[in-house]
Amino acid sequence: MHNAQWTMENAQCHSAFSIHHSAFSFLPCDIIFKSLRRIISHMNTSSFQFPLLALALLFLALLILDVLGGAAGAVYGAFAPALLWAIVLAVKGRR
Amino acid sequence: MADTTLAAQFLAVVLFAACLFHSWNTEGRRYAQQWFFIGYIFSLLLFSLLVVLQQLAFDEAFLSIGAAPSLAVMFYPAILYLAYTLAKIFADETDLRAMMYWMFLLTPALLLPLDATGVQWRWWTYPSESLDFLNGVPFYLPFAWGVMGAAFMYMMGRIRKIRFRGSGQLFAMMIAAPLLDGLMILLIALVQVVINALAVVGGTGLLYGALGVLFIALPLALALNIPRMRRAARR
Repeated sequence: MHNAQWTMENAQCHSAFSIHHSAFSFLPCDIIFKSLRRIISHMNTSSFQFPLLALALLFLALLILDVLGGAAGAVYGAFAPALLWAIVLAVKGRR
Repeated sequence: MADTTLAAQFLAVVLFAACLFHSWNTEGRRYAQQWFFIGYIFSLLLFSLLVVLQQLAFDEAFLSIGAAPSLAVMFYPAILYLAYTLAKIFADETDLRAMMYWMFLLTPALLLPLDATGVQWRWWTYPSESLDFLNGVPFYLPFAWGVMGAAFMYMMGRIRKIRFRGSGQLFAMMIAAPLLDGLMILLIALVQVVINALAVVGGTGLLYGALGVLFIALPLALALNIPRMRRAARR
């Protein structure tokens, strides 16, 4: 049963990448497929995961822009309060 | 310096759309429409007023409606929504005072990296004569954003408690949002005066101390479980 399910997902994944199959053959397709599905289902249902994911991506984009702009060291301090809140959330983030 | 305003607007639209999608799926169509439609109107009017009053100046490359950028302001309802979603982890959603307290603490922490990057890339500048840090972010700004988050939360939460028929809540918010914008200008001016007075009394050291309370002491007090803070949070 498990084997059949794995084969089906792997087949779907392989069909999605079929055009560049040789180029992407080194990728663990079933793991990527399952992870993507899990992330999307969590985004729809969980009120806790989404804000963290969205903020992490936003701050990563801003950080990259800061690095590209050659920002002074002090500018990176702006991320410190958000980092502190991430620690607080990790410690106390359960009602 | 390269023009990154397109990247900023792209980020704003993507973040707004992702938050709207999440809100629609978790809270329903009605609440999502209320938060993001009203949030957008609120932000657009507030930033128009701030530009007209010369507290804020945006890069001319931004697409704009009137005085405010039409796409870049999408950052603000989206980040307010993220702060609201995080606040719900700490406090009961129906407890408006507790939610306002958490919004006051979370909103500035989430907006500070955006402001620092915006000032760095000259997406916007703050032409006021207030003292600044992080190469151009005025000291009063984190407190002003905290007040904005709490005030917006109060407006949304208070009107959602009123039982209107049909789209009554949405129409009530459409009337309340511009009034809140007017009030926000007054509150931002008040925060600015208080922070400038602190600077006169204790210099920039006192201002860094005030920022330390907002950004470090209060989150740490929560993490270290100081009982008085827990009571305040539960209220």
